[in-house]
Amino acid sequence: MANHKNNERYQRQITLKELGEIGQLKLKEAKVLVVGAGGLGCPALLYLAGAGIGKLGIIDFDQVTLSNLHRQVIFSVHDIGLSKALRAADVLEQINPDIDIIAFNEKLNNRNALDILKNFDIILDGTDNFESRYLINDACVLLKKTLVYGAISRFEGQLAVFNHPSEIKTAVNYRDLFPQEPTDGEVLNCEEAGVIGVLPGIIGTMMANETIKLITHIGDALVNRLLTYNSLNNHFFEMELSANPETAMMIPRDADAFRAYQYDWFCSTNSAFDLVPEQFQEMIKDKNTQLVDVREAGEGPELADFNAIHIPLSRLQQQIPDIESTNIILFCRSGKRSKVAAEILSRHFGRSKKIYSLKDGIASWHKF
Amino acid sequence: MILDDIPDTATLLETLNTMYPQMANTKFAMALNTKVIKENTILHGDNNIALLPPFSGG
Repeated sequence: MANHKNNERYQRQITLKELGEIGQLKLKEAKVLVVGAGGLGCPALLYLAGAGIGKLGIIDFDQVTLSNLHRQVIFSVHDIGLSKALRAADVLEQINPDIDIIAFNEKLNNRNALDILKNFDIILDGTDNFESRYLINDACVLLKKTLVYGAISRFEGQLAVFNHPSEIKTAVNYRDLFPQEPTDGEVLNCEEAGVIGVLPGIIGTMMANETIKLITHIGDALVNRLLTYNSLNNHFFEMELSANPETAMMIPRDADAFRAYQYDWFCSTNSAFDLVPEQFQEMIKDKNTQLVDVREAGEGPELADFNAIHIPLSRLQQQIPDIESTNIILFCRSGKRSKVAAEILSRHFGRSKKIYSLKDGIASWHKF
Repeated sequence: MILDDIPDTATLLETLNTMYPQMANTKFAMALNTKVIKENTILHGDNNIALLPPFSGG
Protein backbone atom coordinates (compact mmCIF):
# COMPACT_ATOMS: atom_id res chain seq x y z
CA MET A 1 0.00 0.00 0.00
CA ALA A 2 2.72 2.44 1.01
CA ASN A 3 4.60 1.59 -2.14
CA HIS A 4 1.54 2.15 -4.25
CA LYS A 5 0.96 5.53 -2.65
CA ASN A 6 4.60 6.51 -3.12
CA ASN A 7 4.48 5.65 -6.78
CA GLU A 8 1.62 8.10 -7.03
CA ARG A 9 3.39 10.71 -4.90
CA TYR A 10 6.53 10.70 -7.02
CA GLN A 11 4.88 9.79 -10.33
CA ARG A 12 5.68 13.09 -12.07
CA GLN A 13 9.40 12.86 -11.38
CA ILE A 14 9.69 9.08 -11.90
CA THR A 15 8.23 9.71 -15.36
CA LEU A 16 11.46 11.54 -16.25
CA LYS A 17 13.50 8.78 -17.82
CA GLU A 18 16.73 10.33 -16.50
CA LEU A 19 15.43 9.91 -12.96
CA GLY A 20 13.05 6.92 -13.09
CA GLU A 21 12.48 4.42 -10.30
CA ILE A 22 16.20 3.96 -9.75
CA GLY A 23 16.62 7.69 -9.17
CA GLN A 24 13.69 7.67 -6.79
CA LEU A 25 15.30 4.86 -4.80
CA LYS A 26 18.53 6.88 -4.61
CA LEU A 27 16.58 9.85 -3.24
CA LYS A 28 14.99 7.56 -0.66
CA GLU A 29 18.41 6.34 0.45
CA ALA A 30 19.93 9.85 0.58
CA LYS A 31 20.73 11.66 3.82
CA VAL A 32 20.69 15.44 3.49
CA LEU A 33 21.18 18.11 6.16
CA VAL A 34 20.01 21.69 5.66
CA VAL A 35 21.80 24.15 7.94
CA GLY A 36 19.58 27.16 8.55
CA ALA A 37 15.80 27.12 8.02
CA GLY A 38 15.86 30.68 6.70
CA GLY A 39 15.46 32.34 3.31
CA LEU A 40 17.58 29.74 1.52
CA GLY A 41 16.78 26.76 3.74
CA CYS A 42 12.96 27.04 3.59
CA PRO A 43 12.50 26.60 -0.17
CA ALA A 44 15.26 23.99 -0.28
CA LEU A 45 13.58 21.99 2.50
CA LEU A 46 10.14 22.15 0.88
CA TYR A 47 11.42 20.75 -2.42
CA LEU A 48 13.74 18.17 -0.86
CA ALA A 49 10.92 16.86 1.35
CA GLY A 50 8.61 16.80 -1.65
CA ALA A 51 11.17 14.94 -3.77
CA GLY A 52 11.39 12.16 -1.17
CA ILE A 53 14.84 12.57 0.40
CA GLY A 54 14.79 9.58 2.78
CA LYS A 55 16.49 11.28 5.69
CA LEU A 56 16.23 15.05 5.88
CA GLY A 57 17.89 16.98 8.72
CA ILE A 58 17.21 20.60 9.69
CA ILE A 59 19.37 22.54 12.09
CA ASP A 60 18.48 26.04 13.30
CA PHE A 61 18.62 27.60 16.77
CA ASP A 62 16.41 30.58 15.97
CA GLN A 63 12.71 31.37 16.36
CA VAL A 64 10.32 32.66 13.72
CA THR A 65 9.78 36.43 13.63
CA LEU A 66 7.39 38.57 11.58
CA SER A 67 10.28 39.97 9.50
CA ASN A 68 11.15 36.41 8.39
CA LEU A 69 7.85 35.74 6.68
CA HIS A 70 8.51 37.61 3.42
CA ARG A 71 11.15 35.05 2.47
CA GLN A 72 11.00 32.08 4.86
CA VAL A 73 8.10 30.45 3.06
CA ILE A 74 7.55 27.48 5.38
CA PHE A 75 6.27 29.68 8.20
CA SER A 76 3.08 31.64 8.88
CA VAL A 77 2.01 34.27 11.43
CA HIS A 78 0.88 31.46 13.74
CA ASP A 79 4.50 30.31 14.02
CA ILE A 80 5.98 33.56 15.37
CA GLY A 81 8.06 32.78 18.43
CA LEU A 82 8.29 29.05 17.65
CA SER A 83 11.51 27.16 16.93
CA LYS A 84 12.26 27.27 13.20
CA ALA A 85 13.73 23.76 13.17
CA LEU A 86 10.84 22.12 15.02
CA ARG A 87 8.15 24.07 13.20
CA ALA A 88 9.72 23.37 9.79
CA ALA A 89 9.83 19.66 10.67
CA ASP A 90 6.06 19.73 11.43
CA VAL A 91 5.23 21.41 8.13
CA LEU A 92 7.46 19.07 6.10
CA GLU A 93 5.94 16.09 7.86
CA GLN A 94 2.54 17.21 6.55
CA ILE A 95 3.92 17.52 3.03
CA ASN A 96 5.62 14.13 3.09
CA PRO A 97 4.98 11.82 6.05
CA ASP A 98 6.89 9.00 4.31
CA ILE A 99 10.34 10.47 4.91
CA ASP A 100 12.41 10.67 8.05
CA ILE A 101 12.76 14.30 9.24
CA ILE A 102 15.23 15.12 11.99
CA ALA A 103 15.14 18.56 13.62
CA PHE A 104 18.02 20.00 15.62
CA ASN A 105 16.85 23.02 17.61
CA GLU A 106 20.36 24.24 18.37
CA LYS A 107 23.17 26.36 16.97
CA LEU A 108 25.73 24.55 14.88
CA ASN A 109 29.14 25.20 16.45
CA ASN A 110 32.62 23.72 16.41
CA ARG A 111 31.75 21.42 19.31
CA ASN A 112 28.65 19.74 17.85
CA ALA A 113 29.23 20.11 14.08
CA LEU A 114 31.27 16.98 13.42
CA ASP A 115 28.90 14.74 15.38
CA ILE A 116 25.84 16.11 13.59
CA LEU A 117 27.27 16.34 10.04
CA LYS A 118 28.78 12.84 10.04
CA ASN A 119 25.30 11.29 9.83
CA PHE A 120 24.51 12.93 6.48
CA ASP A 121 25.92 12.64 2.92
CA ILE A 122 25.18 16.09 1.55
CA ILE A 123 25.14 19.32 3.55
CA LEU A 124 23.31 22.46 2.36
CA ASP A 125 24.61 25.74 3.74
CA GLY A 126 21.71 28.16 4.03
CA THR A 127 23.16 30.15 6.92
CA ASP A 128 23.39 33.93 7.09
CA ASN A 129 26.83 34.62 8.56
CA PHE A 130 30.49 33.96 7.79
CA GLU A 131 31.18 32.30 11.10
CA SER A 132 28.82 29.44 10.19
CA ARG A 133 29.91 29.33 6.57
CA TYR A 134 33.60 28.77 7.35
CA LEU A 135 32.71 26.34 10.11
CA ILE A 136 30.47 24.27 7.80
CA ASN A 137 33.06 24.34 5.02
CA ASP A 138 35.85 23.12 7.28
CA ALA A 139 33.67 20.41 8.84
CA CYS A 140 32.72 19.17 5.35
CA VAL A 141 36.41 19.03 4.35
CA LEU A 142 37.33 17.10 7.51
CA LEU A 143 34.42 14.66 7.10
CA LYS A 144 34.69 14.49 3.27
CA LYS A 145 31.08 15.57 2.75
CA THR A 146 29.65 17.30 -0.30
CA LEU A 147 28.64 20.89 0.44
CA VAL A 148 25.92 22.62 -1.55
CA TYR A 149 26.56 26.29 -0.97
CA GLY A 150 24.20 29.20 -1.53
CA ALA A 151 24.50 32.81 -0.41
CA ILE A 152 22.89 36.13 -1.19
CA SER A 153 23.62 39.80 -0.84
CA ARG A 154 21.13 42.49 -1.84
CA PHE A 155 20.11 41.57 -5.42
CA GLU A 156 22.74 38.94 -6.14
CA GLY A 157 23.13 35.29 -5.29
CA GLN A 158 25.94 32.74 -5.37
CA LEU A 159 25.65 29.00 -5.79
CA ALA A 160 28.29 26.25 -5.84
CA VAL A 161 28.98 22.61 -5.02
CA PHE A 162 32.08 22.33 -2.88
CA ASN A 163 34.17 19.44 -1.68
CA HIS A 164 32.47 16.92 -3.93
CA PRO A 165 34.54 13.76 -4.41
CA SER A 166 35.39 13.19 -8.06
CA GLU A 167 37.83 10.94 -9.90
CA ILE A 168 38.82 13.62 -12.39
CA LYS A 169 38.86 16.81 -10.34
CA THR A 170 40.45 17.75 -7.03
CA ALA A 171 37.66 18.80 -4.70
CA VAL A 172 37.52 22.56 -4.26
CA ASN A 173 36.17 24.09 -1.07
CA TYR A 174 34.95 27.54 -0.02
CA ARG A 175 38.37 28.56 1.28
CA ASP A 176 39.83 28.07 -2.21
CA LEU A 177 37.62 30.97 -3.25
CA PHE A 178 37.75 33.12 -0.12
CA PRO A 179 40.63 31.83 2.02
CA GLN A 180 39.96 33.90 5.08
CA GLU A 181 37.02 35.18 6.99
CA PRO A 182 36.26 38.82 6.23
CA THR A 183 36.50 41.14 9.20
CA ASP A 184 33.77 43.40 10.47
CA GLY A 185 32.86 46.15 8.07
CA GLU A 186 34.29 44.40 5.01
CA VAL A 187 30.87 43.08 4.01
CA LEU A 188 27.28 43.84 4.94
CA ASN A 189 25.10 41.26 6.65
CA CYS A 190 21.56 40.51 5.52
CA GLU A 191 19.97 42.71 8.14
CA GLU A 192 22.01 45.73 7.07
CA ALA A 193 21.89 44.95 3.37
CA GLY A 194 18.21 44.07 2.87
CA VAL A 195 16.78 41.49 0.48
CA ILE A 196 13.69 40.83 -1.64
CA GLY A 197 12.21 37.48 -0.59
CA VAL A 198 12.27 36.06 -4.11
CA LEU A 199 16.08 36.01 -4.37
CA PRO A 200 16.77 33.46 -1.59
CA GLY A 201 13.73 31.63 -2.98
CA ILE A 202 15.51 31.29 -6.34
CA ILE A 203 18.93 30.41 -4.91
CA GLY A 204 17.51 28.04 -2.25
CA THR A 205 15.46 26.26 -4.91
CA MET A 206 18.58 25.93 -7.07
CA MET A 207 20.39 24.44 -4.07
CA ALA A 208 17.68 21.77 -3.83
CA ASN A 209 17.98 21.16 -7.57
CA GLU A 210 21.77 20.67 -7.36
CA THR A 211 21.23 18.28 -4.44
CA ILE A 212 18.72 16.17 -6.38
CA LYS A 213 21.07 16.11 -9.41
CA LEU A 214 24.01 14.99 -7.26
CA ILE A 215 21.99 12.19 -5.66
CA THR A 216 20.42 10.89 -8.85
CA HIS A 217 23.50 11.51 -11.05
CA ILE A 218 21.64 13.52 -13.65
CA GLY A 219 22.97 16.58 -15.47
CA ASP A 220 26.07 18.57 -14.53
CA ALA A 221 26.08 19.81 -10.98
CA LEU A 222 28.07 22.97 -10.20
CA VAL A 223 31.02 20.94 -8.94
CA ASN A 224 34.07 23.22 -8.56
CA ARG A 225 32.16 26.01 -10.26
CA LEU A 226 30.54 29.11 -8.85
CA LEU A 227 27.42 30.57 -10.36
CA THR A 228 26.36 34.12 -9.63
CA TYR A 229 22.91 35.45 -10.41
CA ASN A 230 21.90 39.07 -10.59
CA SER A 231 18.17 39.41 -10.04
CA LEU A 232 18.05 42.99 -11.37
CA ASN A 233 19.30 42.26 -14.89
CA ASN A 234 18.95 38.43 -14.95
CA HIS A 235 22.62 37.95 -15.69
CA PHE A 236 24.11 34.61 -14.79
CA PHE A 237 27.88 34.40 -14.55
CA GLU A 238 29.76 31.19 -14.01
CA MET A 239 33.39 30.80 -13.00
CA GLU A 240 35.68 27.86 -12.64
CA LEU A 241 37.41 27.31 -9.32
CA SER A 242 40.63 25.49 -8.61
CA ALA A 243 42.16 24.06 -5.47
CA ASN A 244 44.72 26.24 -3.75
CA PRO A 245 47.41 24.45 -1.70
CA GLU A 246 47.89 27.51 0.53
CA THR A 247 44.27 27.55 1.65
CA ALA A 248 44.46 23.89 2.63
CA MET A 249 46.74 25.08 5.44
CA MET A 250 43.96 27.23 6.86
CA ILE A 251 41.59 24.36 7.46
CA PRO A 252 41.95 22.76 10.91
CA ARG A 253 43.88 19.55 10.31
CA ASP A 254 41.84 17.30 12.58
CA ALA A 255 38.83 17.17 14.90
CA ASP A 256 40.78 18.57 17.88
CA ALA A 257 42.06 21.55 15.91
CA PHE A 258 38.55 22.11 14.55
CA ARG A 259 37.09 22.23 18.07
CA ALA A 260 39.80 24.69 19.09
CA TYR A 261 39.35 27.03 16.10
CA GLN A 262 37.65 30.31 17.00
CA TYR A 263 35.12 30.77 14.21
CA ASP A 264 33.53 33.75 15.91
CA TRP A 265 36.80 35.63 16.20
CA PHE A 266 36.31 37.82 13.15
CA CYS A 267 32.78 38.82 14.14
CA SER A 268 34.11 40.71 17.09
CA THR A 269 35.03 44.36 16.94
CA ASN A 270 37.99 43.57 19.17
CA SER A 271 40.36 40.78 18.31
CA ALA A 272 41.14 40.05 21.96
CA PHE A 273 38.94 37.18 23.05
CA ASP A 274 38.12 35.56 26.32
CA LEU A 275 38.79 31.83 26.43
CA VAL A 276 36.86 29.68 28.87
CA PRO A 277 38.89 26.86 30.52
CA GLU A 278 37.30 24.23 28.26
CA GLN A 279 38.46 26.07 25.11
CA PHE A 280 41.83 26.75 26.69
CA GLN A 281 42.25 23.03 27.32
CA GLU A 282 41.60 22.32 23.61
CA MET A 283 43.78 25.12 22.30
CA ILE A 284 46.90 24.29 24.27
CA LYS A 285 47.05 21.01 22.31
CA ASP A 286 47.77 23.04 19.18
CA LYS A 287 51.50 23.32 18.61
CA ASN A 288 51.08 26.56 16.64
CA THR A 289 49.63 28.38 19.60
CA GLN A 290 52.01 30.39 21.75
CA LEU A 291 51.18 30.64 25.44
CA VAL A 292 52.33 33.74 27.26
CA ASP A 293 52.43 33.91 31.06
CA VAL A 294 52.08 37.61 31.97
CA ARG A 295 52.49 37.16 35.73
CA GLU A 296 55.46 38.77 37.47
CA ALA A 297 58.59 36.72 38.09
CA GLY A 298 58.29 34.26 40.97
CA GLU A 299 54.52 34.35 41.13
CA GLY A 300 52.83 30.99 41.72
CA PRO A 301 51.46 28.54 41.03
CA GLU A 302 54.12 27.05 38.80
CA LEU A 303 52.79 25.30 35.73
CA ALA A 304 54.06 22.01 34.42
CA ASP A 305 51.15 21.10 32.16
CA PHE A 306 52.29 23.08 29.12
CA ASN A 307 55.07 25.26 27.76
CA ALA A 308 54.66 29.00 27.98
CA ILE A 309 56.99 31.94 27.50
CA HIS A 310 57.15 34.31 30.42
CA ILE A 311 56.64 38.02 29.77
CA PRO A 312 55.43 39.95 32.84
CA LEU A 313 52.77 42.54 31.99
CA SER A 314 55.14 45.27 33.20
CA ARG A 315 57.60 44.32 30.43
CA LEU A 316 55.12 43.48 27.68
CA GLN A 317 55.56 46.65 25.58
CA GLN A 318 59.35 46.14 25.33
CA GLN A 319 59.06 42.42 24.63
CA ILE A 320 56.38 42.51 21.92
CA PRO A 321 58.98 41.46 19.29
CA ASP A 322 59.39 38.14 21.18
CA ILE A 323 55.85 37.18 20.24
CA GLU A 324 55.99 35.49 16.87
CA SER A 325 53.11 33.06 16.61
CA THR A 326 49.83 34.12 14.97
CA ASN A 327 47.82 32.41 17.73
CA ILE A 328 48.53 33.78 21.17
CA ILE A 329 46.98 32.88 24.49
CA LEU A 330 47.73 35.17 27.41
CA PHE A 331 47.13 34.14 30.96
CA CYS A 332 47.71 35.36 34.51
CA ARG A 333 46.36 34.33 37.90
CA SER A 334 42.83 35.79 37.74
CA GLY A 335 42.37 36.91 34.11
CA LYS A 336 42.63 40.67 34.75
CA ARG A 337 46.22 41.29 33.66
CA SER A 338 45.95 38.92 30.71
CA LYS A 339 42.97 40.93 29.49
CA VAL A 340 45.02 44.14 29.68
CA ALA A 341 47.85 42.34 27.89
CA ALA A 342 45.41 41.18 25.20
CA GLU A 343 44.30 44.76 24.64
CA ILE A 344 47.91 45.94 24.32
CA LEU A 345 48.77 43.20 21.82
CA SER A 346 45.53 43.70 19.97
CA ARG A 347 46.32 47.39 19.46
CA HIS A 348 49.80 46.49 18.30
CA PHE A 349 49.00 43.59 15.95
CA GLY A 350 45.46 44.51 14.86
CA ARG A 351 43.94 41.56 13.07
CA SER A 352 47.21 40.03 11.95
CA LYS A 353 47.21 37.78 15.02
CA LYS A 354 44.55 35.96 16.96
CA ILE A 355 44.85 37.00 20.56
CA TYR A 356 43.12 35.32 23.48
CA SER A 357 43.01 35.82 27.20
CA LEU A 358 42.24 32.97 29.62
CA LYS A 359 39.05 34.05 31.39
CA ASP A 360 39.35 34.12 35.19
CA GLY A 361 42.95 33.02 34.89
CA ILE A 362 44.93 29.99 35.92
CA ALA A 363 42.89 29.82 39.14
CA SER A 364 39.72 28.86 37.25
CA TRP A 365 41.53 26.59 34.84
CA HIS A 366 42.99 24.61 37.73
CA LYS A 367 39.52 24.06 39.14
CA PHE A 368 38.41 22.88 35.70
CA MET B 1 33.50 49.02 -17.56
CA ILE B 2 36.19 48.92 -20.26
CA LEU B 3 39.81 49.78 -19.47
CA ASP B 4 42.66 50.04 -22.00
CA ASP B 5 46.42 49.52 -21.75
CA ILE B 6 46.44 47.39 -18.63
CA PRO B 7 49.44 45.02 -18.83
CA ASP B 8 48.54 42.71 -15.94
CA THR B 9 46.01 42.09 -13.18
CA ALA B 10 48.16 43.77 -10.50
CA THR B 11 48.10 47.01 -12.53
CA LEU B 12 44.37 46.59 -12.97
CA LEU B 13 43.91 46.40 -9.20
CA GLU B 14 46.08 49.50 -8.69
CA THR B 15 44.03 51.36 -11.28
CA LEU B 16 40.76 50.32 -9.66
CA ASN B 17 42.04 51.22 -6.20
CA THR B 18 42.85 54.72 -7.46
CA MET B 19 39.41 55.05 -9.04
CA TYR B 20 37.58 53.56 -6.04
CA PRO B 21 39.69 54.09 -2.90
CA GLN B 22 37.18 52.22 -0.70
CA MET B 23 38.09 49.02 -2.60
CA ALA B 24 41.30 48.80 -0.60
CA ASN B 25 39.28 47.76 2.47
CA THR B 26 37.18 45.07 0.83
CA LYS B 27 37.74 41.38 0.15
CA PHE B 28 36.98 39.87 -3.25
CA ALA B 29 38.00 37.10 -5.60
CA MET B 30 39.01 37.83 -9.20
CA ALA B 31 38.07 35.81 -12.25
CA LEU B 32 39.90 36.22 -15.57
CA ASN B 33 37.82 34.96 -18.49
CA THR B 34 35.67 32.90 -16.12
CA LYS B 35 38.59 31.31 -14.24
CA VAL B 36 39.34 32.38 -10.70
CA ILE B 37 42.96 33.55 -10.38
CA LYS B 38 45.05 34.16 -7.28
CA GLU B 39 48.30 35.57 -8.67
CA ASN B 40 49.28 38.46 -10.88
CA THR B 41 48.52 37.47 -14.47
CA ILE B 42 49.67 39.08 -17.75
CA LEU B 43 46.81 40.34 -19.88
CA HIS B 44 46.93 39.96 -23.71
CA GLY B 45 44.19 41.22 -26.02
CA ASP B 46 40.62 41.46 -24.78
CA ASN B 47 39.87 39.99 -21.40
CA ASN B 48 36.80 39.74 -19.28
CA ILE B 49 37.51 40.31 -15.62
CA ALA B 50 35.01 39.83 -12.84
CA LEU B 51 35.43 40.77 -9.19
CA LEU B 52 33.43 38.76 -6.75
CA PRO B 53 32.83 39.73 -3.12
CA PRO B 54 31.98 37.11 -0.49
CA PHE B 55 28.26 36.96 0.38
CA SER B 56 27.01 35.81 3.73
CA GLY B 57 23.27 36.36 3.45
CA GLY B 58 20.76 33.57 3.63
